Amino acid sequence: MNQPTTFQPATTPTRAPGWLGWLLPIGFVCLAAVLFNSSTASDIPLAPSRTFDKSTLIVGPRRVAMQDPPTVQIEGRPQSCNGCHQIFTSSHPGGAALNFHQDLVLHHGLNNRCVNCHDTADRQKLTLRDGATVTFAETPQLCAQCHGTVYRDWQRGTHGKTLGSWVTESQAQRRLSCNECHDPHSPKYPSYVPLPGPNTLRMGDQSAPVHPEHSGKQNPLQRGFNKPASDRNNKVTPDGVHP
Amino acid sequence: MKDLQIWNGPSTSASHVEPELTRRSFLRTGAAAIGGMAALAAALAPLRELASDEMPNLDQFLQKHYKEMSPAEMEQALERIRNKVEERYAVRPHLRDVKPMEGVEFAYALNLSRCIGCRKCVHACVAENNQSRSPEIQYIRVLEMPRGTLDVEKGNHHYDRPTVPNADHFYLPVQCHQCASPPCVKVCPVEATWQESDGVTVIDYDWCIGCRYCEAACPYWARRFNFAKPNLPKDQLNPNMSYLSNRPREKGVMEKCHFCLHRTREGRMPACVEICPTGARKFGNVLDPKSEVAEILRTKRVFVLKEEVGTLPRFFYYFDERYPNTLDPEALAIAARLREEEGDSYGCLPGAAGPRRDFIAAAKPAWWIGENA
Repeated sequence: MNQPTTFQPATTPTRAPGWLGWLLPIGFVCLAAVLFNSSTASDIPLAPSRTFDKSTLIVGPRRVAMQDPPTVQIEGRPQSCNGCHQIFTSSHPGGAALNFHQDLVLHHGLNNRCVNCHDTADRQKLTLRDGATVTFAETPQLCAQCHGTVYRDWQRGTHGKTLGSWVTESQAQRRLSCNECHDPHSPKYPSYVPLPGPNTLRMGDQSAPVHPEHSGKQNPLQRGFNKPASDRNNKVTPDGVHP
Repeated sequence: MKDLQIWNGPSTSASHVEPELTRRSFLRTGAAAIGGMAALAAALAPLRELASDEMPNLDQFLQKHYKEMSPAEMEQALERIRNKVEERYAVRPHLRDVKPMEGVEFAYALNLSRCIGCRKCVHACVAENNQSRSPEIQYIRVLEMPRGTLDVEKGNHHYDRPTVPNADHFYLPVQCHQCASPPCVKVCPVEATWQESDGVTVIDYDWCIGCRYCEAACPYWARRFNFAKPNLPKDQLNPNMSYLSNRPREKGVMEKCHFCLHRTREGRMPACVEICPTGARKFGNVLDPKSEVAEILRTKRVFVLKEEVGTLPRFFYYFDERYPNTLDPEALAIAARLREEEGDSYGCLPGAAGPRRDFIAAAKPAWWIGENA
């Protein structure tokens, strides 16, 4: 037994009291019983999800563009533009006092006269800057006269919406026309009501008041929410940090 | 061989002595064994809460990794999932395994000048991809950002306004960027997530162990974890699904945006692109020079989020130039010629004598009109 010197305890181990050996398994059994009975699925608290109108999720153009040739419904019957305009002359070509088409909202900047775009001779055509006429289906050519950079982007596909397929050669691919998103008479894109925000598992309802335990501390996710917008955004410190 | 004994006092001799089986040691050993088994039963008790349809069967247990499955094994796995979906949602799904297309690398571009923050993309994505409704899982996070910064820490995705866009903010939607150097793939200890040849990083939901390393590794907060059993109403299930994309997930697995690969690998647009009302979202094959995304990368001011972390995203943000480029000599020449030719009526359309003077007058103070009258 020429083993190297190993550590020898200075004192000989004392015999543990006999009841300790009994206590261990009894403790195990008790613990197991407690665990077994208490292990029901813990319910994760969930804030109720906000619902919204599913009909807002419709794929397609934002608005229905005027078809070509244009028609209007008069007393429930489709009528062509020329049907009226060949009989009645427009007394105010500038559109100062419209007796008809009063539902139109005209917000197109300085371009605020009907005949800037509509042909005086043939009301079912649109007129270009050089006097040539185009059909209603060729509206982008008309818009392009002023909005050249956007037209260029639209031709390349970097402005506007493309539906159907991402495959460039695909027959299913369709790029929406200007007037399928913008109302030609008031082209500014409208505001939307946003759909509900996230309602995440651990964050719960963000509109709820801060828990009293955190009194005095603002919910970091609501940072800056209670302050007016002017306070929040106009105070930009020189290093670009928003307070 | 020594019998199991808890404590029999210090060994007194080196020789092999058969321990004496006393009544005391028998009871001790027996009690310890019972206690141990009871503890094991307690540890396995959560299994009692599994419903019968959640218990994995042998086929699922022995199912191989996606890349190792033969076509026959894949068909077997698909059939098992179809049956399970039908059992749970009472709908027979159109489930298949869609492979990447040849010569295609997907890229995504988002026009920050056009995004209005309406969150339609978020909910169209949820409807398409069978995410859990409660607890909510959403792949797209729309950040409302104060103007003048691109620091995403300043963004707020809980914004709730009567209407959007808000004039003081811009909107920055964030989803999986399908990085060319994906940190989430690097950290996965079981290779349950990988990058496909068309650039989409996918997850084998049957292989994921739910360690959430990828969630921690992603710099774009793109990965979502099923902390609880996904809850999807039967009538809201989308039956058009594929193995690697939107088939129903289980509790304890990771999921994320996959560019709607069950749609895009068949030539269709992702759901978020299709629903976007402003056309701010653009999707296509970046290897095709005529595609919209290739055009954007060539002609627009493009940036990627957190470029400094080196993930090489396939998701690009871009801006519109809102005014004509005055450095373009051709545009300047045309403007100069028109101004010369048309004089005062420059900028007015034929048929109109010029901009309505009363309109201009209304916008100017009275003393100014008087001075020029």
